[in-house]
Parts: sequence; structure tokens; C-alpha cells
Amino acid sequence: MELIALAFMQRALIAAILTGLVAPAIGTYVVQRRLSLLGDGLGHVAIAGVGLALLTHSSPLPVAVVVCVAGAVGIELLRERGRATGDVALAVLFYGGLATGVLMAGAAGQGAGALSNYLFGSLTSVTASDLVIVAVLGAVVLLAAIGLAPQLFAVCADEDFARVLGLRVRMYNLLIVVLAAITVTTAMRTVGLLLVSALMVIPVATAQNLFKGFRAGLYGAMGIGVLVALSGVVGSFYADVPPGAFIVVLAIVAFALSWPISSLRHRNRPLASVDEVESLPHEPTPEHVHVHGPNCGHRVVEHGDHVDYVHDGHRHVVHADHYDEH
Amino acid sequence: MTPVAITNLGVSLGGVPILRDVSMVVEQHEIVALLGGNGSGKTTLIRGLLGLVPHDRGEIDLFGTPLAQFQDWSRIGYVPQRASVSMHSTTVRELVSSGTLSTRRPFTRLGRTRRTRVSEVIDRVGLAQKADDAFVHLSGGQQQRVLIARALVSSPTLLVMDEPFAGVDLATQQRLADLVGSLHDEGMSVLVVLHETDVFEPLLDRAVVLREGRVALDGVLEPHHGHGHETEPPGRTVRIIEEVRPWN
Repeated sequence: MELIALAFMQRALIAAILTGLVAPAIGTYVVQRRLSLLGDGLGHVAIAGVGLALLTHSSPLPVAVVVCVAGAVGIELLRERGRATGDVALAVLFYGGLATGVLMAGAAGQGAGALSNYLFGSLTSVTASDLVIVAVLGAVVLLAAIGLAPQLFAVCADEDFARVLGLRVRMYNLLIVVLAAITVTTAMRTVGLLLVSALMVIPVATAQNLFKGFRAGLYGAMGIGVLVALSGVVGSFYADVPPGAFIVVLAIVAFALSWPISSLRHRNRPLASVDEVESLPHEPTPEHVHVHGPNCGHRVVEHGDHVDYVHDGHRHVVHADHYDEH
Repeated sequence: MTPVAITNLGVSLGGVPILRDVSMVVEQHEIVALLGGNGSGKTTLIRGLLGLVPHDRGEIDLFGTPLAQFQDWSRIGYVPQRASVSMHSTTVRELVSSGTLSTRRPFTRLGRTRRTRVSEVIDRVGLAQKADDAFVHLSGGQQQRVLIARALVSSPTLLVMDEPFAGVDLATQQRLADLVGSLHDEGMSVLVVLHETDVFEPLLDRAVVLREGRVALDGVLEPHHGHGHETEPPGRTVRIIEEVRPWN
């Protein structure tokens, strides 16, 4: 593998591993908070940071981190105030970020083309100092996403219950968007600012199809993230295309493959659960000549981990050689 | 110490007054039902007393401490409406484990004692065999039991339940009522929001009826006579014999 010998590829691969781990880790919470498009918006805000860095001749990554985190705090404060005005305010903030980024890059004499390395990732642009920042910030995000998993999980699963537990829900909500902002900016060299949101969301959705439970889903999503990020970087080297595009297409392929696996698992679930049947009074349906099945024409209702068939206003469930009323 | 004491509470949401001058208590070892039609303010009252919505007027004391200063949240087990759980990919055990967080510092592990306690309460609600199943694959009644288990983890002395019977069949309602009954026998105080008293009726010490954001009735229930009523179906209405609080 001659690509391992290339110094820029070594840096790109390490950055890919870090991004692949970090983006789905924080993405797990972002998806659960139904903020799937937050990453996308934060990516737009980070573009303003890149533009500012180009204009001031500074290093793009640190400037983008600062601008994006500030934007994230602003977004969360707007979100807290109320959805109606927040919606428009978010749009202004996001597109304002994109427009000012392009404007500042243009003023710096770089043109919009100079931004494309940051929008879709670029293998050759990961510098050694970038890598240090990505590693340090990545470690911070991972530490919080895994170390505070019980608290963040509680806040995402049921905010009211978390408040009654005495958790500082507001602080944890703010933490999630700040961590997302850091993730978005550190991913700009590999997946790029326009595509990073996909790496935060799609591996999470894939893992939910493949794994049961929150923690298994979290680690599963991180595993899938590393796999597609590494494969995407290697693939983009040979195909000579921006790595972000390759990574995201692979993530979508993995998601598509996870669908049939998920539906197979559901089909193999036992028809009736022992616990549930025991807890209900046993009431066999009298004289039932019709045989219920997937295409029998009767409406199917999910009931716990089995299905009932709606028949003349009753609900029937298969029990040995007869049907029970549910 | 009185678990819940609410005095002249006023709550407005978006400028619209929802609760007006509400006063009520839940004494130790009491099971109190909060009744009223849709929009009468039952859920807002529950959310107000737990500090989930701010109040404009009045006082709320939890275990003798004003709400703003109250810290001892492990004494309260909150069972919200089932729809409030948005993370459906979670397992029963994970969801119940989050009940340990009122006494657990960040960056600490669950630990053996808490892990045992989690298994204990899952067993208590009869879901030991479902502990590692996904929450979303459970029936409505089973999901309700998971939420009760989650509330019980911290060994609370007050259980606050918001419509635990919504979307639950009658046989399961009876099981839930039995569970609450046995918790009460062990000293639990309970405040429960109900649409109808139904299977809970034999357990209730008192009922508070809200109407348009005010306490319409607050009284002791007539002793339960089983299913022997001939004039009216059992469990459909609240029969209050001793009115503790007159019409507001």
C-alpha cells in the first residue's frame, strides 16, 4: 500500500479515523434531539470562520472553531426562546454565515473556489498543526459524549424526567450544540463543511437499524463512522475525487444495506410473548374458521411484540391452534 | 413532613391563565387523584409543582421546602405520560437506569449497588424477562410499567403519575393499580392524574377535581363497595361524601 507511505495520506487517514469516531458520537444526541439539520447549519456558520481566516491570513481551523462555537451558542439561545421566531432567525444565521464566508474569501482575493477544499474536504490540505487541533478537540468531544452519556441520554430521551432528576438540562442542551459545532469544524478537512452533517446523522440511523439499545447504537455508529471515513479517504485517493463526497456516498450505501437486515430481524421476532399472554386473561375466540395471515385482508395491529388481527370489532391473536381475544 | 403543599397557585402559559388560585396538599401516605376534563389544568398542575413550568403566583412546598430551594429530587418519582419518551431505540434497562441520575455524579460508573437496584425495580414491575428488549417493542401497559420502574429506582417516597392509564387495556390497568397499591402499603404517597377513577378507586384516599383551572372539589371518597352498585356503573364518577374544600 504505497498510500500509507505518503505523509499527507497518513495525516488524512488519522483525521478520517478521528472524524469517523467523533461525528457519529455527538450525532447520536443530535439525532435524538431532532436537530438532524443542526450540523448542516453549523457548517454554514463555520464557512464564515474560514472566510474570516482567509481575510486575516490566519489558520482557518482555529478561527472556524471559535466562530462556529459562538454561532452554536447563539442558535441554542434562539431555540430556547421559542420556535416561531427561532426558525427564521436560524435561516438568517445559517445563510448569513455562508454569504459572509464567501464575501470575505472574495475580499481576500481567494474567490469562492478557494472555499471548496473546506466544503467537501481535501486529502492534501490536512497540516500537522491541523491534526493536533483535530486530535485534541476530538478527544474532548469523545470524552464528553461517552463520559456524560448517561446524563446526555437522559436529557435526550425525556427532558422533563431529566429535569425532575435535578439534572441541569439547559447546560447539557448547550453542551450538545457546542460539541456539535466543534465536531463540524474539525471535520472540515475530511468530509467538508457541507457534508459533515451526513456523517453525524447517517451512521446513527444505520446503527439504529443494526443494534438494539442506546449504548450499542452509540458504539455501533462510531464503528460505522470510522469504517466509511477510512474507506472514503482511501477510495477518494484512487478515484481522485473530494473525500467528503466519497465518505457520504459510502455512508448512504451502508444505511441502505442496513434496511433489509433490520426488517429481517423484526420478522424473526416471536409472534406472541409469553409474559404478555400470561398477563392477559385467556379468552379463546369461539368458532373461528377463517385463518388469519399477512394477506388475509383483516387490519393488522401491533400489540407488544406480536400482531392482532381486527375482526368484526374484535382483536384476534394466534395462540397454538386457535385464536384468543385481545 | 407533607410531601406536597400548594397554596394559591397561578400558572399562565403563553400569557393565557391555565391555573387560578389552586391550593391542595398531598399528605404523607395518601393516594390523591387529580381529576378533571381535558384542558382543566391537571397536567399543568403536575408540571408546575415539579418546576417544569414556571408559576406566576402562589407557593409550592415539596417536603416542607420551597420549590426554588428544593434539591432532594430522589424523594420524588415522576411518571410522565408515555409519549414523553422520545428515544425509542433504548432498552428497558437503559431507560430505567437513567432513574439513578438524581444521586449520581457526572463521569461516574453505574456501580454494582445501583445496577442491582435497577434489576430489582424491573423485576418489581414484572418485566425481568423484557429487561434487554427495546422500549418501542413493548405494549402500552409494559411501557407504562417501565416508566414506573424508572421512577422507583431512587427509592422515592412520593410518586407523581400523569395519566398512567392512557391507552392501557383494563387487565393491565388492574395490574398497575395493584402495583401502586403495594407501593402504598410500603409507605409511598401518590399523586395521580386520572381521567376516570376506574380501577384506582379502591385505593384512593382523596380526589381533587379541577375545572377551568380552579379546584372545583376536594374531598374524601366514599368507601368502595366493590361492583355492587346498581344505580350507576362502578368507577365512572367520583362520589365525594365529605367535602373538604367547597367550590372556589
